Amino acid sequence: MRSEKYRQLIDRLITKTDRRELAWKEGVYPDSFQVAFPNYSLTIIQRQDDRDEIFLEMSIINSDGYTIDRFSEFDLEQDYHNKLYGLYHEARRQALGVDKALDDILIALEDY
Amino acid sequence: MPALQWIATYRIGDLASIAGVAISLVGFAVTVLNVRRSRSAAERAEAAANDARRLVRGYETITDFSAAIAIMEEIKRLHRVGQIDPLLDRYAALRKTLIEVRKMSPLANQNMDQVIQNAITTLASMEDLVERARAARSALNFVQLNQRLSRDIDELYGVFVDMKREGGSQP
Repeated sequence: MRSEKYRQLIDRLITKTDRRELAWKEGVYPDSFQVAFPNYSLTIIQRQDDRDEIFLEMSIINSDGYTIDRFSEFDLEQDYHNKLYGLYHEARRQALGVDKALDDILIALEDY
Repeated sequence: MPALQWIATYRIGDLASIAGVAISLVGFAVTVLNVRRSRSAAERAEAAANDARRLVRGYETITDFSAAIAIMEEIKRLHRVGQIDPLLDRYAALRKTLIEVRKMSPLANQNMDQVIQNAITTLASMEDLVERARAARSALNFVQLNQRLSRDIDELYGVFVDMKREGGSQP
């Protein structure tokens, strides 16, 4: 039941992120990004386990700033691993303004 | 009894009844009007009291908001000098102030809620990061922490300006 909700959450985040309807920002933890809603926020973090393998973790933070839930790619099926990585990379691009930087550079290169 | 005879002859009793009914109707109309007037006066008084409460709460919110931004600037200074112990208290104080601003503000809207939620998330993460670094005696990247704080201060300041403008246009 819970993992079904996580899947729904990831699907909706991907849709909204692709439409650029979410304001992803750089988080405080290294390699983390966060998005705020009126009463909750989400952070997506790239972590390393004891064997130095990278994995993704998503946390739900309430209006008082407490982490009320957390799940990682290990709680999801393989197809959702890939979706979570896709979401992480898109959130990163948007938070860092990568597309805007590329557009500006391409425009600047046209002048050369 | 000539008087009674005169009353009976000219049907004065009927006329008195009709006059009585007319007077009652006028009296009833006047009563309804007065009730309406007093109700609208009471409603106006209640609306004025609500406006006054809203205005006071608006001023309190603006004061709390100013305090929050001042604490954020103080946190940035503490980051620069790397003073961890007072930092933890300031994070907690700031988080409480922001939560209060959001709960008490009469001018809350979705944008303001999102900006405050984002700042609360940043602070909660900082608190956790600093606590862990303190326990592990490891170094922290205060430059990066200040970058995140500066971003949130700018966004909160934008909301603060909007709030002052809206608050100023309230009756």
